[in-house]
Amino acid sequence: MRLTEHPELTAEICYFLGKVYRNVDWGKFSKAKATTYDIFQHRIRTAANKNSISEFLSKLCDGLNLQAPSIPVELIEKLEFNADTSLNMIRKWSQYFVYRSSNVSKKLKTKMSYAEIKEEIINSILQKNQNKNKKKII
Amino acid sequence: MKNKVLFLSDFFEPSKEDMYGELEGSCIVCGRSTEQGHKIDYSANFTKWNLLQAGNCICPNCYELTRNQDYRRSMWVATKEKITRFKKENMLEYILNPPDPPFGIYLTKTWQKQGFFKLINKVNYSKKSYFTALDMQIIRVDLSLAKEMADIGQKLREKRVTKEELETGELYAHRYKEIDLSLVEKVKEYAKQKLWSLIVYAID
Repeated sequence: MRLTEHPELTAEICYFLGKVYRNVDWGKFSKAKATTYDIFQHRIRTAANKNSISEFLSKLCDGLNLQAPSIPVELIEKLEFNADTSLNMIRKWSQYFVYRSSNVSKKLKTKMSYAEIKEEIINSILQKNQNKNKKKII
Repeated sequence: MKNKVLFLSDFFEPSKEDMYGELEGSCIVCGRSTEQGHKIDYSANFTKWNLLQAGNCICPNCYELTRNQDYRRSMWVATKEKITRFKKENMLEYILNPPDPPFGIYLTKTWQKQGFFKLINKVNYSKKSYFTALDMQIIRVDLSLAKEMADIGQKLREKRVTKEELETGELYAHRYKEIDLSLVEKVKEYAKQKLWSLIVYAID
């Protein structure tokens, strides 16, 4: 499964996971054994074996000691519509999503809007392809 | 004989006179009949009996291949003209530039297994697509695909991606900062292929 074939869905998953990442109290986790990336990736992978996005979110929150992360309901519904593809992508590209969600979390700190973050992620996926095409033409 | 089927051992001419035996029968390695066969004298430590065939002797060529320890402890390319042994540093070069057919290529990671038993009936007649053995594993090399893989592998190795990451296709999260996503997508596609693990082993 290629992420470049589903840039919009990828961006939505990144935002969704970014929101979760931002809400986690990382101070509670011991950093002696693993980094935040490792912990988050492990929780994502475990949760991605569920059947639906709501179950995935519930399992993920359990693993990260979260009560109720503030995620737009429309986004959850959108992802629920493509649940199979989304969960499959999360399973296969967990490291990528960890990196992206930590990035999104930083951007949420600067109060960037959902639309801006989504556009930036889509551009980062597609821009590189455009650059590659340019090189080929040259 | 015009249409003689070649076996890998045909490239290995006996180096000494005592390599020619006196037994008549069929060879347990290649299965052909011979009049100068040797007694089957593999030691008690020999464990590859499952790769041998029915027969009563070992023909001179197979005797040279299997009894000469140098072929077990090295990687080599065998053609009708010569047998070239090479080190790991030159492995990729030989994989991507095979000699003119017919030829056989044997590669190893352990430097002790007798994987060439599996190659015995796999003499290659094409440069574009050929068989090789990495120890006991037979791998089909599609040359154009191998070149593409080597190119991608080398690019990623330059960016200090570890061989383990390449082989599994699971790159660390921080790699995505500097590596093109389309490149990682290709690595993930290749990750399950035997040829990819061979190329990853071969590149520096």
